[in-house]
Amino acid sequence: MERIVEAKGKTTEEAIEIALNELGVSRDEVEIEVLSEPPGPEEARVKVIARDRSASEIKGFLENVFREMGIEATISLSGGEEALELDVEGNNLGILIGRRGRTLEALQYLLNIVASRIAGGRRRVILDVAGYRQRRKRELEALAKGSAGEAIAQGAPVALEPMSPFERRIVHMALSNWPDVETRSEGEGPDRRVVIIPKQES
Amino acid sequence: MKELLEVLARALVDKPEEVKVDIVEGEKSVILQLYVAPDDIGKVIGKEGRIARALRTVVKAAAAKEGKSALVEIMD
Repeated sequence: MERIVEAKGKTTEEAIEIALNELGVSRDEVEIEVLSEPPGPEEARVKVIARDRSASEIKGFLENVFREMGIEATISLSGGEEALELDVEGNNLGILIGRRGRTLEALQYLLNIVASRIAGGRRRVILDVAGYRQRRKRELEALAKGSAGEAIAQGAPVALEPMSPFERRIVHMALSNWPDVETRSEGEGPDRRVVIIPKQES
Repeated sequence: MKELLEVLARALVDKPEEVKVDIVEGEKSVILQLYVAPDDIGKVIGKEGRIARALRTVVKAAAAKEGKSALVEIMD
């Protein structure tokens, strides 16, 4: 859950103070966005975002993990109640991603368990490192469409490489409004993969 | 790596004070022996060993950064 307050003041500091008072939280629990600052239009305006305590605890846990891995990175929080998104930026973050994103999946899996423990109930967390998920999503969408075209042309099912649940979902979604094919997941555990099946012409 | 596994394990269990990691360090490899309270063993192994597998993946990534291979053993 996040709460947002916009406040005005003669100085930026004063505006922040007013917003913090209204939220009843301290400065290290919030994100601050300066909307306008003197000398400017007239007065200082700021937007202050307070996230629930569990969000900052989850971030704190991940910061500890990175410190022990010897990784310098900044973590920014976004998203809300449904899924908390943690985006990691920094240099040489390849080891957090791993081959085919396996390390990232492992981190995300552990982070989800820890997040639910911290929040005292199910808390969904999406972890991204250096925009990897966005890039991978585009790749998978292109792969899905290319393979669907192939399945239609050959009139035979096309099986993709094994993928994580998160990646399979992207493929299913990418083809959900293709009328000429259907998609299914087959296989167990780490071998589970999407199969694209051309629909019989009737 | 010892501290990394401790941070991860403590966040997963009900009795973080009973988490202990012993390491046996070789030249190119390191064995990490993870001890937790008896009631917490399932919490570091998970359904079909998924949590243990994720812990190993993350620890191995950190070890690879130092040019080593790592083996995580869950002790009971």
